[in-house]
Amino acid sequence: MAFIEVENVVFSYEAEAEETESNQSKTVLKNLSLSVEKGEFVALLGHNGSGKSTLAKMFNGILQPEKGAVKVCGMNTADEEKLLDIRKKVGLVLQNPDNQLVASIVEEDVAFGPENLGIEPKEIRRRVDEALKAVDMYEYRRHAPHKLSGGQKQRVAIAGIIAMEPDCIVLDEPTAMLDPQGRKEVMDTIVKLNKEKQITIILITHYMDEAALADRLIVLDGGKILADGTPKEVFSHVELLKSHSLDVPQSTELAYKLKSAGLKIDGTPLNVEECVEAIDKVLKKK
Amino acid sequence: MSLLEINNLSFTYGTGTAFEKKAVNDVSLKIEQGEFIGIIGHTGSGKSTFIQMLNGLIKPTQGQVLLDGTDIWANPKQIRKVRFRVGMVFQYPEYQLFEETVEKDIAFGPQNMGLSKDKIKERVESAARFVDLKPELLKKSPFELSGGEKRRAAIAGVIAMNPDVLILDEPTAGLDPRGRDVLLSQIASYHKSSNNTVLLVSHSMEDISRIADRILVMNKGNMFAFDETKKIFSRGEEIEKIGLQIPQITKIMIKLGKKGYKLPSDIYSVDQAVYEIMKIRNSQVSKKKG
Repeated sequence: MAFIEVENVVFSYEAEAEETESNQSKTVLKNLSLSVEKGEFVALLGHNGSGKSTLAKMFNGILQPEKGAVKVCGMNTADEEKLLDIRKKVGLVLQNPDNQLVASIVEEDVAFGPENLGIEPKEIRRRVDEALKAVDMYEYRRHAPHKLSGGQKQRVAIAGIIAMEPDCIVLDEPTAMLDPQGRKEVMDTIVKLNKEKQITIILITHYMDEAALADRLIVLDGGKILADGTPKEVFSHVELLKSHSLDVPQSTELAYKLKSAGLKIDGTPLNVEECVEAIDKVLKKK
Repeated sequence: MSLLEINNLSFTYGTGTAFEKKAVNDVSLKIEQGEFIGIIGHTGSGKSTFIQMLNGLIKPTQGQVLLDGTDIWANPKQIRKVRFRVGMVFQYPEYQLFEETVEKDIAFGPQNMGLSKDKIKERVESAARFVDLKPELLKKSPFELSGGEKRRAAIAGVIAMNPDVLILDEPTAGLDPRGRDVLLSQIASYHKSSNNTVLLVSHSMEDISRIADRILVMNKGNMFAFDETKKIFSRGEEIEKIGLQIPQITKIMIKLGKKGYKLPSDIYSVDQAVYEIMKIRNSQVSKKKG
């Protein structure tokens, strides 16, 4: 049994009742199935409207599938009695950091989750400290969240989830509203949580360079899976992705175009270093 | 005479308090009619403060902004007129939609300018066309639109004033790649057909490099560089050092250059890079033959 199993899920949003002319529902997920193993770092990539955020909200039962089932450790998210257990295992971080912070002091905000789980005060203290250290925000524990930068706020939001000690964190475009520095801070934190704490990560993003950091990349298009594999495998289908107006990293695109121009480049470089190495190798062979 | 002439512009927040901070420090530059200027700099670099001084939302603590040769603060009572001529689209402008219908929202600016009804209608329609909002959407409430449509409606509201200078602060923030590409190309075609001056603030060098004639790089309140797009990229390494991201392509070309390949240092698009690398390859092949 996989950690998370999504089985033949169908989901549609009802159009507004008063909108008589467009009184049809919009199907966003069309018979979608996938499974995620414990410890994986999965990136979900797709356009707005591809169904990726809808899927994100299903992993911990905020949304229920119309048809099919979503199971976390075998527990069905449709089973209300299991919902609290599921949410202890799968935490969700959203796009806008300003909408996720509730307290007026950083450490109180991080303590909010564990407090609600009824955990002992001493244990809460330990978890809050550990969570803040994990996201590198410990020295800001007594600061006011509204005075932090976007990247810092988002890391506090992540700490709030970590303090509940989940097995898995789902992040829905956590860097979309951040500047490059904030993006980097948050991505470094996510990679660290996966590698050092073995937390399963499901990252929803439309940044190719972020998706390239994952172990596995799933591309959604029109509510279906367009590609599923390692970033190298998926990004090697440059034409397929471009035909769905999705980007690939510039390094990958450069290698692809050089190949088309007749240069014998090895593999699918995903970043600057790999690309420089591949080009250097070909040009050296005179 | 330049359209905008900025002389020794400075702004200090909280003068005389413990929080005194110089956000913009002695910036001087000239912008010509019809130019497309990109402005880049990370959070706290002073770029937002800078653009807010250009249409008089913030009064500089030192220096002046000349619009067509006249200091915009020469007559403080007329500052509103400056704001009609220098239109500003803020970050996440969709949060500022407020009217009952999209049409009324876009008409708000032209109405305040005191234009006639016919003129307003014409302005609204052409602004909506620029941002590709379908006519049937105009009668809807702004809150019924999708996120991307809301943003475009908000931008149309500023375009409808037909400002000589259009300033956009991070217009593509939070959009997906397709939404970003569509909006950028709409801005580019607006610039082309209106021949108005456009200033675009962005975190993304990749986006800016595609459309800007010249780029202003801000760092810690100072003007770090102001030059043609190509020349800015030839300083890629310096720009990276002040904490800005340069396109992957530019980094690749810099690194290949360090390995001894003769490559120009001002490359910022994939196609330029392919062309230059193949040129090296072909010269190797022809040498071999020779």
